[in-house]
Parts: sequence; C-alpha cells; structure tokens
Amino acid sequence: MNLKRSLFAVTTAALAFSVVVLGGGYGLRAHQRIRSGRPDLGLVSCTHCHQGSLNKMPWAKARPHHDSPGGMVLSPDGKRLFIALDDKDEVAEADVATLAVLRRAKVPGGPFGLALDAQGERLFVACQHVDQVAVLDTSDLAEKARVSVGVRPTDIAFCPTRGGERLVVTNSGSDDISILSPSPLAEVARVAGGREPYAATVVDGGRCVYVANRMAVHDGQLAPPASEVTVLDPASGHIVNRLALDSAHMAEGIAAVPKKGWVLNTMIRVRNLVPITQVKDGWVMASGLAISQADGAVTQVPLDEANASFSDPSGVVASPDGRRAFVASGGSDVVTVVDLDWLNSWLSRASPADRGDAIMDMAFSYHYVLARIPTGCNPKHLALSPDGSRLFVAERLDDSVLVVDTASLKPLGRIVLGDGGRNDPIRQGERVFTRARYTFQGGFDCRSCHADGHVDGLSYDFDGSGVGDNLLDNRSLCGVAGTEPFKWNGRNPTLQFQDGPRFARVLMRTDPIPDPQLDELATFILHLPPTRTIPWDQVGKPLTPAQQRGRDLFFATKRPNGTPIPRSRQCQVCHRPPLYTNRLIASVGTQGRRDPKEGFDTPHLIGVGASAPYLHDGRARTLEEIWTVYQIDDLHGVSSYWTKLQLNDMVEYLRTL
Amino acid sequence: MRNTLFAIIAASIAASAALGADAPPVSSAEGRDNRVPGALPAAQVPGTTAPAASRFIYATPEEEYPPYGGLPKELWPFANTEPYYRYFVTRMPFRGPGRDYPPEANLKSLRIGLVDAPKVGANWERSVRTREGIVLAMEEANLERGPGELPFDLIEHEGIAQWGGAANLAAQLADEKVLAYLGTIDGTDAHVALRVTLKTEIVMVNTSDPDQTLTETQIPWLIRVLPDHRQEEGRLAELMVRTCGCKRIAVLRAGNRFARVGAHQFEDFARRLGCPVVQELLFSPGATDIPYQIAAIKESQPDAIFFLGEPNDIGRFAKQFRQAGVKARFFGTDLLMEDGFLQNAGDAAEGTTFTFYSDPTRQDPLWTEFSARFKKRWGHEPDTYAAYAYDGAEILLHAIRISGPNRWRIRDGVYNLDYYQGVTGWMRFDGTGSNTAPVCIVRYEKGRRVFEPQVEFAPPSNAGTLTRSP
Amino acid sequence: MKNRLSPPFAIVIGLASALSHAQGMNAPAPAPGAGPLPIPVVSRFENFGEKDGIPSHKVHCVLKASDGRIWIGTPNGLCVRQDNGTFRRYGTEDGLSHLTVLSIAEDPATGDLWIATLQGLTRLSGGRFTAFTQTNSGLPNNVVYGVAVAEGTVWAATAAGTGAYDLRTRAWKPYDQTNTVMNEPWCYAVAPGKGVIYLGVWAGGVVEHDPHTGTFKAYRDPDGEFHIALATDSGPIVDVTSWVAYDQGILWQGSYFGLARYNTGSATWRTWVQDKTPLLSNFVNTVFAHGRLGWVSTDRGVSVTDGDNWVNYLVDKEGRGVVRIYRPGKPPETRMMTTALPDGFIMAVWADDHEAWFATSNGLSHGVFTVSSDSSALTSNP
Repeated sequence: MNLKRSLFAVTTAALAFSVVVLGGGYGLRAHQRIRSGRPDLGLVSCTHCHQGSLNKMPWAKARPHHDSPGGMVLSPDGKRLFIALDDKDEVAEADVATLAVLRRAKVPGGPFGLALDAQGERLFVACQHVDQVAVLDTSDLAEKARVSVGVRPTDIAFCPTRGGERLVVTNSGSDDISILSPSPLAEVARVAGGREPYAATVVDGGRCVYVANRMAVHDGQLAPPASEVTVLDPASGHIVNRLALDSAHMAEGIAAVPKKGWVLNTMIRVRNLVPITQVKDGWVMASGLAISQADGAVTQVPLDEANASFSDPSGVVASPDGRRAFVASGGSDVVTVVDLDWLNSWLSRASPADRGDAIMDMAFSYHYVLARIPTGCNPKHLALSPDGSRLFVAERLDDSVLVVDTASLKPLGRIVLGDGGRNDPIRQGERVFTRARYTFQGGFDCRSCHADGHVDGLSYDFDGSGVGDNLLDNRSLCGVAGTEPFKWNGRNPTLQFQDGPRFARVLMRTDPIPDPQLDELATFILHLPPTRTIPWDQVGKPLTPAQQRGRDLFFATKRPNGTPIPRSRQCQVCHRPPLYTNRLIASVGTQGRRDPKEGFDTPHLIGVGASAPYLHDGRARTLEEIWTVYQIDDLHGVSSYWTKLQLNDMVEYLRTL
Repeated sequence: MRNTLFAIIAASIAASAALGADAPPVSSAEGRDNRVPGALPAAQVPGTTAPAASRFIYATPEEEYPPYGGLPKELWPFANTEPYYRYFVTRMPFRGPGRDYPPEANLKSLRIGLVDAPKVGANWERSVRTREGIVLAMEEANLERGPGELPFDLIEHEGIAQWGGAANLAAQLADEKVLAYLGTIDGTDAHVALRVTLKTEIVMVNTSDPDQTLTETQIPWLIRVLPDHRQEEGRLAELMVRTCGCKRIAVLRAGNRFARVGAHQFEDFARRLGCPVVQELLFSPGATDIPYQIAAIKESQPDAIFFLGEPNDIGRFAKQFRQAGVKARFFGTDLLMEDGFLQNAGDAAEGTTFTFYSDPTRQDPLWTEFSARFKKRWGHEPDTYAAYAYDGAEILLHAIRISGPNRWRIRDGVYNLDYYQGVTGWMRFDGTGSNTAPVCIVRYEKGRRVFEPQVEFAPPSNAGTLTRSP
Repeated sequence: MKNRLSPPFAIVIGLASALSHAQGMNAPAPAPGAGPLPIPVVSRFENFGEKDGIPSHKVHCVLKASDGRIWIGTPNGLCVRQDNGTFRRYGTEDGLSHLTVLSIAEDPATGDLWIATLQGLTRLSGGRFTAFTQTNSGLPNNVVYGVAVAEGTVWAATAAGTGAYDLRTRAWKPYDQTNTVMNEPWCYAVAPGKGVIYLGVWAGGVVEHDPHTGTFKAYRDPDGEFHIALATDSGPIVDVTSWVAYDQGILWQGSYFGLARYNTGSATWRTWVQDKTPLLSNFVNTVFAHGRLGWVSTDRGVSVTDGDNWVNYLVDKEGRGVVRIYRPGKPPETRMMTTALPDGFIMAVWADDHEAWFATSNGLSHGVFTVSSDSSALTSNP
C-alpha cells in the first residue's frame, strides 16, 4: 500500500513536474517567439533579451591602472624627458643622466601626446579621454590652461609659423585635426583628416605638418585600402596634400627626416582581399616604412625579412643628421635601425617600377636594416635626444623607458615607471594581445587588426578554401563582453573558443595560444570598454532633438500612419538595449552570393558610429548605405516610410551609442 | 465632325503658309533655322500614322499670348489694376548655343527618356497607361523609319518615391544621352525634373501633371500637353458660381502638394467671382473616416463642396457626406472620372460634376482611329493618360524628325509649338508652354458619365506663319 | 510674318530703344555732380575654350580660389587653370561624384573646395576627392545646384532641400518644407550673410535662416503671382528664385523673372526687369556679389550694377563686344569693344576689384579691367 502510495506520489509529482516544465517551456517559448517576432525561434536563454545592467559588464568595473608610457618629449637641452602616463592621468619628468623620475604631475584625462615649445617652458599635453589639450609650465609641471579639441586627441606638434606659434593636434576619434594658438590657448581651425589621425610631425621648421592617419579609408568593398598622410599648412590651416599609402593600414608613426626632406611613416601593408589562408605564404600582412618625398612621391619599403616579421611598427624617429631612422615594432619587441643614406642612394636610381615593387621584396630590407635592438614588451613611442645620441623607447606594457646609445646601439639602462603589472590578468592579456609570436613567423598579432581593441575598417577574405572571396567585416572587440556568441556566423560561444585552436589553424597558421594565455587574452578583451564616439563634453548630456527623433524611430513600433511594424523588424527587438543585440542569428536580406547562409549574428551597436564599414561583409560604407543601398523589402528594419530627415535622425542617434 | 472640319481648315492654312512662306531666318538666336544636315522634315505618307506636318503650327517669334492662360479677365489676379510687368505674354526664348552642335558620334538609336511614376502610390496605374500611349507612338514611328534611319529607343525608369528621386532620374537620363524625355505624373516629380532639365538642356514633354505652376517657371525646356488645373478650376468656378448659383462653397482636399496648389487656385477664382469659400479642410490621403471634417463642413451649411484628392478617397467621403445628411452639390476635377470614385461613392456620386480634358465619346477620326489602334495593341480602350501620352510622344517624335539628333533644335521643335492637333483634339499652347485647350464638363447621372457638349475650338485663321520648327 | 531687320538698321533701332528705355526706366533721380563710375569696366576679354583644355562648350561656374587658381565647373568635369594657361580636367575617374559640375565653393578656413554636381557633393581637399551622396551621407538629394561654406558648415542647395553639413560634428541637417517656412523643398542656391544664411528656394522666394537661433524668415513676392509683377521695389521679384548672393549687407535675388536686391541695413527692396530697366534679360542664371556690386549673369550678357549705375556687356550679331553704361540722369553710353565675351549666354561670374571671370555657354572669359574705372577708358565708339 505504502509502495502504491509512494508510486502514486512519485508519479503524480513527476507528472506535475513534467506539466510545469513542459507547460512552462511551452509558455516560455511562446513568449520568446512573440517578443522576438520570430516564430522559428527555438528555446533560448532569457539573457538574450534580459541582459542586465551595463554596470555589471567587466569593462565597467574598476581595474588596476598602470604606468604605461605614452608620448615622450625631450627638453631642448636634452636633460629632461617628459613622459605621458595616460592610464595613470599623469605626466612624469625623468632625468636623462640618472634615468630617475624626478617628478610626476597629475594631468586628468588620459595624457598621451606631448609637445614642448621652442624654449622648453611650456609642455602641451593631448588628453585623449577628455578631448582636451592642457598646458603645463615645465618649471613646476603646474597646469596653466586647457582647451577642448576634437575627439580622442593622440598627438600634438608644436611649430613656429609665419602666422605665429601653432599647435597641431591629431583627433583620432573625430577624424580631424585641430590647429591651436598656444598663446592664448585657443583652437583656430579644425580640418578634416583621413581616418583616425594619430601622429603628427613638423617639417621644415613649421612650413607644413604631416599627419599620419592610422586607419585605412574604406572606399568600396573590393577596393584596396589606403591610409592617408595629411599634409597641412599650420599657418593658414589649409590642407596642402593628402598622400595615399596604398594598401596600408595601422600607419600610426610619423617622423620628419632632417636634411633629406622626407617624412617616414610606419605602416602595415595589408592584403585583406587575399584569402586569409595565404598567411603561411606571407601574403596577408607585412610591416613597412613609407617614405614621402617633398615632391609627393611615396615609396614603401619592407621592415620584415624573408622568414621573420616585425609586426606592429609604431613609433619612428630620425636622427638629426637624417642618416638613420629608428622604428619600434610593438608586436615583436624590437627597435629596427634603418640606414636612410642607403635608401636615399637607392631612391635616386630606382625606377618607378622598382619603387612600386620594393615593399613586396622580403629580401630587400637587409640592404638598409642595420640592427634590431631588443626591447621590453610592446615598444611604442620613441624619442631622440636633440643631439641624437640617446634613443628613448617607451616599453608600454613593461611600464618603462629603454634608453639606447645610438652610436653603439647598446642599451644604457631603463627609466622605471611602474612594476609592469605582472599580477594583473588584464595587463597580462594585453601582452598576449600584442604579441606576434603566436602567429606564423610573427607576422602579426591581434592588435594588427584591432588597434586599441577596435576595428581597422577592413573586410577580410576568410574563405577557407583559399580560392573564394568570402569577405567578412572586422568587428570591434570594444564593449564585446556579454555579446557572445562571437563571429558573424554566431558559432563561437566564448572568446576562448573564438581564439582557440581553430582560429590558430585558419588564421594564425601556427600552434594555438596556450590555454593560460588564452584565458588572459579573453580577460583583456572582455575588459575593453566600448569606443566613445561622441565628444567628451557631450557624454551624459541629453540627446539633441535630432538624436531624440532618431531614438524614437529606433524604438518605433508603428509607422506614422498607425500601421504596426512587425516585431521582427523593429530595430530595438534585435538590437536590444543595453547591449543593442539580442545575440541571435537574423536574416536581414544581406546574404551575398558567396555566403553559405542567409542569417548572421546580430552585432551589438555600442560604438557603431566609429566602426564603418557595416553589414557582415562590409558592403555598406556608411550607416546611411545600410538603408539607402542595401535595404531589401524592409527586411533590415522598416525604413521605407522614412524621409531623408528621419534617416539622418536615425544615423545621428546611432552615432551616440 | 466640327473638329475634323477645323483640322482640315487649319491644315490647309498651315500648309499654304508652309508652301508660300519663304521662311526667312529670323533675327535672334532662338529663331535661327539651323537644321542639322540630313534631318528630314516630316511628311505625311499615305497609309501611315505619322502626323501630317500641317497638324503642327509653330509660334511666330515674339508672338504675344493672351494673359493668364486665356482665362476671362474676371478670373485674373489684380484684374482691375494694370501691373507693372506682365510675364508669359511672350514665350521665354532659349538664347544659348547648341543648335549647330554636331550629333553625338556613333549614335545607334534616337533615345527618348521616360520617367514613370513610382510603383508605390496611386499614380502607378496612371503611369502604366501613360506608358502604353508612348510605346504605341514609338512603335508606330519605328515602323515608318526608312532604310538607314536610326530607330527611336525608349529609355525608361521607374520613379523613385522619396527624396526628390525624379531629379536623380533626370540627371541619369542625361548620362544616358537621351535627346528628350517624357514624364512625369506627380507634380513634385515634374518640378524637380524640370530644374534638372534646364541644366542638362534636354527638353521635357509633360503629358500628365495638371499643376498649373509647373510651366510658370520661364524655363524654356518644357511643354505640357495636358490642360492644367487653372483651366479646370477656372471653368469649375464659373460653373459653380455663375451657372449653378452656388453661394457657400466648401473645399475638402488631400493634405498634399497636389491638392494644396489646386485648392488655392480654385479659392482664388471663387473669391474673384465674389464667392469666397466658407471652409477649406484637409484629410490624410488614404484615410477611411473623416467625421470631424464632415461635421465641420456640415456646420458651415455649404451648397457646394469642391473635392481635390484621389478618387477612391473622394468617393468614400462623398458617401459619408450623404450619410451625414449633407445635401450640397459635389464638384471635382478630372480624377473623379476614374472608376474608384464611382465605386466608393455609389449612389452618392449622383449629380457630381467635374471637369475633364478631352471627351472620349467624340467621333472624330483621329480619336477613333487611335482608339482602334490602341485597343489592338493593348487589348483595351485608351484612357486620357494614354491619349495625352500618345500626343506628347507624337510632338516629340515630330520634333526629332524635323530637327535631327540635336537637343537644342528638338527643344525648338517642341517648345515653339503653338497649336497641335492630336488624338485628344486641338491643343493651344500659351506663353508658359501649357495646353490651354478648353476642358469639358462631366456629370454623373444614374451611374453614368454624361459629357456636356465640349467648347469647340481650333486655331484662328491667322495662327502661325511657319509650319515647321523655327 | 515678321521681316528680318538688316544688321545696321537693327543696331540703330537697338540703340534708340536702349536710349528710350533708359530715359523711361525707374532709375532714381540723377545725383548732382555724379563722380566717376563706381563700377569697374572691362576693357578686354581673354577667352578660353576647348583649345585650352576646357572639355565642353558650356562652363557652369567659375571660382578664383584664395591661392589664386581658377577653377571652373563644366558638364564634363571640374577644371583648374594651370600655370601654362591650359586647363587640367578632373572627372569621375579622379573621384568627382559626377561629371556635371554646377557650383564650386571654397572653405575659407581650410582651402578645401566643395563641388556641387548632378550626382552629389564632392570635397576636394589636398588633391583628394571625397563624394557625399544622398545614399552614403545625409545630403538631402544628389542634384546639388549651389554650395557655400560659412562658419564651419557646408550648405548644399539640392533638389530636395538644403543640407547643412557641420564640419566638426559631421552631422547633416536637412532643411525642407517639414522644418522650415519653405513651401517646397526645392532649393537652388545658398548664400552666407552676416550671421545668417540665405536660401534661394524655388517657388519659395528667399528664406533667411539664423543657424544660431534656429529661426527662419521668408521673403516672398508680395503679389504672390507668377504672371505679373504688380509693383516695383516691394519685395522679391517673384517666388521662383534661381540664385541668391550676398556681400556687405546687400542680398541679391536672381530669378527667371528678373532681379531683386535687398538692402539688409535699410530693409528695402529694389527690383528690375528687362525692357523697363537696364537689366539685360529677365532670365538671370546667377548673381555674384562683390562689395556693393551685383554681377548678373543672364542669357543676353552680363549686367553689373550697384543699383543705380549699370554696365552691361553684350555680344552683337556679328559677335562683337558691346558695352552699355547707364548712369542716373544721363543718357546711356554705348561703346564697341575690341574684344567680346565668347557668348551672350552667361552662366556665372567671379569678380573682385581687379578682374572678372565669366563662365559662359561657349567657354570661359577673363575680363581685364581698365586702369581707370571711368568709362572714358573704353576702346572705341561704334
């Protein structure tokens, strides 16, 4: 009887449980299908929609800050070195003779680029996190003035001009260049740069300023990219020239060469339209140096060797006599010493064809590479003493500055700024992120395509067979936490999976990143905050009327005539805030002829204003083109009723995310 | 029959003028006779459908046209004041060069553009019919091309509904090297295309936009073959106020540009006739019910309601007015000819009076023969859009025939036209380049359209002194 | 049927007609002891055409940039005059958004050129072209008739509204009938004024917009009719505006119905039409404002005026240059020139105190001024 009772009770409980589970499951599935507007949807996690607060994202939490050296500048007498410590909101002053840090000054806002006036009395600081330039008195490092510039200023150059003193500031986030008057500190002009102006150098004592633009301009899905070198007259503010570094991206270092009239750019020669399987043949990326001559001719030469690459060329300086250049390779932890005299001789006799082919010749660099100087982790910025005798190498992820004797090319010691953050898993992950040793012959690293974790604006041919043309847009890693699954096909549930063995086989073409380092890498990426796309002084401010109207469109559930918009085509259903993705595969009518499936992962939209091009294969050059050129039958949101004013409003809103 | 008689008389006059005239070159650039060598004048060939040259009567240079589209003076603005300056008394000449430019090298066809209506919207069906008329004209013209003569080629584009798309299409047609183009139905599209026309110097023949302001721009690169709203509304205002004795006229119109321009013109006429309208109310195109507008109009106790909008909408509202007990007479313009009005209005259509362009029930041979050819080609009767499109295309084809592949001379052949006898009857172009042929009055009686006898007109005996494009 | 006049007779008749018109026109009373003509007079035209590398008959617009280079827009590309006097052409293969260039403006802050075309707006900066279209940007429509740059904003008058592109924020703001006082969105021209922007609106007169306050003010034809100008000097000549230009407090409205001028200081209008005033033709393509002068491009030549005095340049039937000078209270002077504009159909003018450039339907012309501004420097009598 008891057994019967027990059996009955168990059976009843099981049935009840089943009813609850099955009924609940049915109800849940119905709820999900209704709310997503997707009758085809299987049961998915509630977190696709119920995402929680952004404050709980890894990148929103407090993290350790480090003494990472950014821009550096030497006093005119060569005795003092000023170092920007953007992660600590400080500027440090070091004694070049003793290599001791003399003073540190608090400079809020992520001080990154530095410049001194001719007398060495005023230190100008580009503060990238607050879109400002600060002026410090070098006698006491006290801040004297501040002025707003464009978004995310990364470098600043001081130059005397026929119109008076000028400062040229590269605003990497707003793609423009500010020209300031230092006394009184004020912006006198702002001119359009290329994409992501990153570094500036003064030529001919202020006659003109050359600006390196880090990101390539995307001018069509199948067009080879080109980074721009913007040449401007700082006196008039007029653009003099826009040189193209063909097939180049990540051109973030620039230096004028005295006595030769050249300007040198570091760059990555990228062949994104070549199937990525060609990594093993060295066809996808190569590090190089671009030489811009006074007549506008640009010649690219390799920094790599036939069987060894020196990835992420970054800082570059030229000796005062114009005979040597020093190039920091951030992914390979070396500084390359270049013989400019040899290059000068070669340029004088090289045919146009020779010049065009040089970058392709991996055996060419032995002619002019004099030495490779090992450095600490991730050398970025460089500085030379006024007499050219000392080279200072910012070892960004070691929190130190290496000092090299340029005559012997031997290290003289280090200026130690911090402990290197060895116990910080995020910092450790960043080391993995910037380390080229994990790729075939050290050809590239994660940063080679994701500078600062963001995009390089290119689409890459990820065709597995190596014969097709399956272009995929490079997606930003900033703010990516919580947006899994990853990859455009949505197949990778974690970053470890994304960057694991398969990734090594397809892309890196070498052994996979070991698990501990893979975890550190994932940690670093998950802590990358979203890219800021709006000026700092607009952060937290109410939306403008146009942005608000755009927001209303984004959240619209009905057309103006009252007709309901199907839920599956409401912007906010798929791009659900706060992450602006429901992390589901969606079909929006964008399947290309080489795409095996019509559905793609719904990308998050945080920072979308800065991540052009758009759609899975980068076919849309601008946000507008998503709806004006590539919208089919209102599949990607219902836009057919939009006026031009409304489209503009929508774009203005998206640029605030 | 009388039309035919007029046609014969006019043709005789024109022909005799052509034969007798020495056609001396005129003194200004706009009037030079710079025919491209090799371009053949049109001649009526027995057994063909090419219009006789005598059906085209061209303007005399510096000829003066009656003010304000030839409407009675009491309808003119500021009729009792002599203005400082009158425009459109003469036609704006085109004084630029181009008539002696050689034709494009390696021409393979004579390209004529067509801007259709966008597929979304009420004008699409009208555009389809428009296209049928044009295609028929071009097919007939191509059949008559002689050996070695280049064929006509229609370069067609579907309209773009948004963002001034017609301007882009007009620019695209220039890129596609058309010699001239036809279109569009929508007034906004026609306006934006016209402005491009001036820049690209490609003449435009409009066959279906009745907005009177379209040709009031002094841009000498456009004619319109369809009588305009000024003609319709002037006639209607006279009918309502003078003939019917209406005292309290209300206006119900769609909330769009087409209806706004038309309503304001009508209100001006009514006011000038001493009967200012008592109400002007708007509705959203496509709206199903308009209780507030009906209540407001009912309260104003109108004895007539003038409608402007799509026929489906107007039909629906006419029914609702009757259901609400409004007994006012209904008036409207040409769109009420369409079946959508009658279907939606039902019995409420009874007595509704409207203007229409050309009487399709008339029996003159040009019309009946065209109708037969059209029906043979397309399987149904031509409507007014098809008929005017056919006439517009004929004017353009004639201009190309006599001018050769030269855009500037084709412009002369189109824009300098004073009278043309088409399948829709005689056209009379005013100083703006708009057809001011009298419109007819139609009334719904027991579900049928009853046409009042049309005002007959034909060119005066002294019309035109040149029978070819000057 | 009209008879053709023999040329000499026509000239005589024409002169007599001009005299009678001048005497009967609505010019103000003569100023006692009027001084030298306050309008520079062209003594010589230097003409450039296809032989000089200009790739079409027609030249739509001309601009002398701040670096002294002459830029022209044609139906077949953008051209710049090179040091050797020939013209270098840029086309779509160089990045121009369309071959038909209608208007050019220079950004005074950056030296960038903004080029209005039939298929978008193109920026030429540092030798590089960047195209802005209605599909890849916030440009309201691809057909851009006029462009101007003022206070860091590019203003583009298009077939579907005026677009304002903020060079700092990269944000576009369209102005059309939904957010302004325009009846229609069809814009033809844009002219920066003193703290305001003037929009030449087809069928909308002139709209004055203050971007700082967001306010609009419409200047409309007082009689509201296209068929008549009821009275003179009472507002825009008509609502169909083909061009607007502004300098030193003077706003000019060009139309195909005549010319109007608004003195922003005194808030007064003046209007001119052909036959009743010295204005050469009602068909005004563009107006170029320099100082107090308006250089009016018509289909019959160029009229230059300060509102009281006029200098008209025509081409007679034999292709000879004719200049007619009208001063208040004096009979008009007609002189023959030793050179002539290449065509009477003038599309646009650029001028300063030293020279003038004329975009015509038959090439480009350079007008060299007389040393003295007085008309006595003219070359010969007819």
